[in-house]
Amino acid sequence: MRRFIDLHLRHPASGTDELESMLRFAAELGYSGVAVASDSGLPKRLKRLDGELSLDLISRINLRPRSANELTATLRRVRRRFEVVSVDCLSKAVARQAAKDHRVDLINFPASTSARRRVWFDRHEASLASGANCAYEFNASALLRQGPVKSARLLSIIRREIENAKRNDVPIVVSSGADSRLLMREPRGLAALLDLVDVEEESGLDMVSSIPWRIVEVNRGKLAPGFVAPGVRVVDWDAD
Amino acid sequence: MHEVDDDVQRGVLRLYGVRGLSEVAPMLIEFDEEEQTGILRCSHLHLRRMRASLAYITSIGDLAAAVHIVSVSGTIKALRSS
Repeated sequence: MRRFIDLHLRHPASGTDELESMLRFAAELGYSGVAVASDSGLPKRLKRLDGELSLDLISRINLRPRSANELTATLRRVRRRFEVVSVDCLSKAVARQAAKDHRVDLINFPASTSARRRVWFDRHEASLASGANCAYEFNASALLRQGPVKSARLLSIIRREIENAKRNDVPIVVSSGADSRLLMREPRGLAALLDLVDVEEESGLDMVSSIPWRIVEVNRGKLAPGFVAPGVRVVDWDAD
Repeated sequence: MHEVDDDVQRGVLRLYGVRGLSEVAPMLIEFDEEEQTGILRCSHLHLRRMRASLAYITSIGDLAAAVHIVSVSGTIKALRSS
């Protein structure tokens, strides 16, 4: 049985109560895990919901650096504090650096079509991301917030981005990107939206289940005590 | 009920056009205003399109709204008992 995960909920402007209601709703919708993007981690009282709702809460940070240098400096500071690190690529230079940096888990591009024409997930970007094992993220909220004409333009760009990702074996993750209950969708609904960009049903379901879980599990392994390098970890400190 | 039905039809039309709407053939069988739940019939061959269209809905009438699928079944009887 699939375990679904929404790797991107945003902290709502209305506060922690709304976030708590979103987390409860995520559990109702059938998610087993949810990542909440926040600069400071989850508030303590929400961490308790983990057990109550049987919902795996994952820490995530969205970086919006203005330059490649700022990105590397910020990554050095935050990488070991969050389970998932995503970069919003606002310029080509940042996008290139994010795609080749092993510390970046997900890359995101602007939702506005005019900005997306300047910086998008092109072939070179996909090739770099493939080497660094960095995943491409599609946020459904970007689509739901636009009118039909802008949605159509955005879909046409996303279709080409997904083709680039597939051609280079870059993992693709689908998230809601929701900052309110109204933008949350059940996992199969999120996966069904990929029908609009010609993704097969089973592949779409993987993008809301096994692929994001793999990212979280690998990162949890890296953050666990005793981790030395991929495949190498200390099992006993006292042994000579 | 008519408003919900109209917006569901419009949702499919917006994403898949007239041909898509004729293939998906959505029909709201019943809608409980109090519970805000209903039963929607569509072609089982185009269930994924139906899911996508419902996920794409962001308003019903003038109100911001979201539609979620609680359960899918081949018969209405099984849906009512679940």
